[in-house]
Amino acid sequence: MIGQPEASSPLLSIRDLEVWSSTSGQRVPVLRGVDVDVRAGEAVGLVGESGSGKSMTLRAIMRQLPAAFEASGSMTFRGEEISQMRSGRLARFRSDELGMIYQDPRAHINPLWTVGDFLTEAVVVSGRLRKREALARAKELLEEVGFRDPAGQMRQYPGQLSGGLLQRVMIVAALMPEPALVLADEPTTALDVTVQAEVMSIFADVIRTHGVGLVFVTHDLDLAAATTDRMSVMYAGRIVETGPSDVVSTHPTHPYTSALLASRPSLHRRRALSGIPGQPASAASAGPGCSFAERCGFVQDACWSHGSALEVVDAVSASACLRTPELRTRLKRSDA
Amino acid sequence: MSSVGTTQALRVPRFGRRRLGRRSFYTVFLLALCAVLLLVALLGPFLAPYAPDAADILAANQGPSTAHLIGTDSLGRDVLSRLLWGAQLSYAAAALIVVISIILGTSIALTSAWFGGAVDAASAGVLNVFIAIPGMLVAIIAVTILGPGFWAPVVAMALASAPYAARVLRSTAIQERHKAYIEALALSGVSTARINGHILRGISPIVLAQTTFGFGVALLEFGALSFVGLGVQPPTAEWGAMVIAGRTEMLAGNPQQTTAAGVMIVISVVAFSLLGERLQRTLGGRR
Amino acid sequence: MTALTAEAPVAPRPRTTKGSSAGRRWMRHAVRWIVIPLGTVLVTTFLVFAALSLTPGDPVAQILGGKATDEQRALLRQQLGLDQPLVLRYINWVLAFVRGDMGMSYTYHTPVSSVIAPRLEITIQLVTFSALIIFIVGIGLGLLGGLAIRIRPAVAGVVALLISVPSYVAATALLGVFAVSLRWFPSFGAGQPGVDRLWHLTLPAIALSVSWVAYMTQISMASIDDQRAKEHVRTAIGRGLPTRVVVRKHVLRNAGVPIVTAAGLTLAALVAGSVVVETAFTLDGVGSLLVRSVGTKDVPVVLAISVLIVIVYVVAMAVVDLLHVALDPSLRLRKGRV
Repeated sequence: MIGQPEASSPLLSIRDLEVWSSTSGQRVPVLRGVDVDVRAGEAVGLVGESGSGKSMTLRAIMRQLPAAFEASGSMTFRGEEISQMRSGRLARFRSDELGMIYQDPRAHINPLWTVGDFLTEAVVVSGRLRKREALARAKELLEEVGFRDPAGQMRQYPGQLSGGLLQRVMIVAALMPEPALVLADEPTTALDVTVQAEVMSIFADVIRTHGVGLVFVTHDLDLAAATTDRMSVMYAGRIVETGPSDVVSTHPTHPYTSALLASRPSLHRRRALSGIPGQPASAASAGPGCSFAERCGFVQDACWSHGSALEVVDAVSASACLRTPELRTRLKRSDA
Repeated sequence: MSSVGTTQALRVPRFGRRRLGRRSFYTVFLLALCAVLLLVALLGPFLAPYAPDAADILAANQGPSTAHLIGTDSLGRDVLSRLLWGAQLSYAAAALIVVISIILGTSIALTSAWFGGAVDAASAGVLNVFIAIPGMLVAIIAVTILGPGFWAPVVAMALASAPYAARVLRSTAIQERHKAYIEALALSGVSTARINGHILRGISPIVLAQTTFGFGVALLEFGALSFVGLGVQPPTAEWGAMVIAGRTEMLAGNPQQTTAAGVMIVISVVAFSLLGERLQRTLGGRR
Repeated sequence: MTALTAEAPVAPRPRTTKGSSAGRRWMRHAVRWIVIPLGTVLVTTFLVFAALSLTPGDPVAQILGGKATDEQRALLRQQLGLDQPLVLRYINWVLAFVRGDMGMSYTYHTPVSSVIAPRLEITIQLVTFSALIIFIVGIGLGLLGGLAIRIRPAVAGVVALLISVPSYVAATALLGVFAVSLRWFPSFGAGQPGVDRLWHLTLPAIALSVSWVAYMTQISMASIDDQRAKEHVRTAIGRGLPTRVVVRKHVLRNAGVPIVTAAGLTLAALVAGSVVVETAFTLDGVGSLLVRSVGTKDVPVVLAISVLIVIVYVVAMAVVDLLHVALDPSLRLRKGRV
């Protein structure tokens, strides 16, 4: 089943999402006005460094922010406001329409229950599938992700499976209820490098086959480019650039993205490594102007006071940099 | 500009010592309380207005008065004085028990951690056997053989508590032993004794916490032994013994001896246990 | 389906023993549940036996008194096997013990078993009563404190205080308040079997359980706290599972393991604690018998009771281990050996 992206309203629409923590009486911003759209069947990447707020965005969507964290803004799923969902509806939303893949599978799966139980519990309890149907579906999906003895492995405990296998189990769990939307929080970061590639390829395949909408969070820009249709780059709790993945990764419109791309060692030429000077900013520390101003190679006086809202650049891309129109050609990835 | 600190400060707890908030005030309070108690135990005999066995039948079973701040017992002895003298005994017993058992336990733990393999497995097995004998029972058996008193129960309880301490410290010692800096030292040819000194220093916070905590427990158990009559014998003053000795008086309506001794025991145990627990949390958590 | 390279997720590495290896598995179970506990009991009781054999004083003189002839003394010595080497005496003693023969009491001049038996009933009742209080109140409070955040500080505060109250202090306090001042409960003795027994044992049971209730509450609360913060609980909630399912399946079951361990330790310690409480309330149970026998140097009785205590300990630990595996089946597979 290959889903056709609908031209009309998006599956998930986030507008002006702000998240802050109010520990010890102080209000510390974590996300400052995030906008994301995901259409049915579309894969959207959220790329950024640690502290950029990308994981927090996912938690906000699921309404699982840590204690003492608050959110404002609009998050709609098929037109319905997620933050207004009452507990019963929220539970059904989570169990039937949403799938979540966490970063460290070993920490996120209860070691005391079998793999089979983990896979089937949510759909059975919510009533979406009967036990037998759930087991059958689990077996099917496990085969799809490459398990050769699904029945046997479903009887095992998480402690007996390796990290790579466990993450595949997690992927299956997310797909069990045939969700419309899947959220993936750095699904391969906790795995060994060799395993990462495998799991990623399975993951990408499976997502396309099932036609689900995907929000894919990662710090690896190239990985996002290879896996997603559109992507947004985050910095200091804000989106600084958004556009089609292939465009963003070859013709970035924001200096940050460009600098990120440039800092990766080149496979084709020998040249000195170039990092981005300074330390990554957090949403809490950024001032009124552009949060990247301090480290930007193209900074001007106006940057310090210009609020960094996303501005449409062309039909498909948007950028938060006010100098984008003039800088576009210079930001092109050099070894693209 | 580095704002990494700000975001991360939300998640990473800073070292307890630097933060002068409510929590470390509590620890300081506990420390002070325990220090005062120890001081009283040390100086007890000097602070006591009367001798512990100064009997005055005519003044027997009196309630609190100006002459006797807490009252007198059935033989007319001043309860406060006996309490102060008894503090020395109770605390000495507890201190000896805990120090001996910690020394033994730490040695076993370090040996076990250092040699690993078969030695460790063997000691784990042996420890499991010894833990099967409750401390109270060991003391009772010791008293059967050697008669009641001070030293037999103290040594017996020390030996009985050592396996428990050893088990707790063993896992910490093993963790420490495998830390990178220890491996580095071993590779660079530093002597075994020296390295173990380092390991010891590494686990010392836990050792300290266990010692403090164990002090309270030992105090309690030694008191229990005296309570059933198998520890310190009358007329020697000791808190546990005073609790049982005063029971008849209490039933007759003169609870001062029993109550005073009981309260002192509880305060001591609470203070040291809480301190031990606090130390465990602040010092142990830093690793 | 994607072509897979390196790691193909085939059937698991053979950690589960099946088919012909079932025999090996049974052997491992037998070792764990039977051989090791039995071995522990034997070694420990031997140590106790050896230690007590060092007791000064001549058993023969104790039993026969001063008026016996040399002949009688020699005969008794032989009968008691006192001239045999230690290990032999131990083995004989063990063999007799398994048959129910625990020797003769030096003081009562009757079989030890008949001395212990009537008192055993009282002690068992006391310990059972205490255990019920501890588990119901202790774990209950712990669950409450762990799951209901508002009550937590109150519970934690009470626990911190009570945990340091030893049973003899509690016993004395309860005696003073409820038996003497208020006269709600009797102050000594175990009363007649039935409701009267219950009434007599109430204060002793409470005294015995006070610090253990606090301990169980603390462990239960800490364990639940621990689990609630775990990520797999977040996963469960994130998948839309209702709260009570999450609590039951993912919080309580995982929290159960440390709680069960604590329960086992507690039960074993209660047995030793009954010594104190029985003295405090003048109950004629095994505990006070033990204390008395130490005073009179009635070694066979001391030995028999000590051995019984050790056996209870070891059995309790084995049961705890069993429950561990029941709660956490993955233990069975990960920790093949003890």
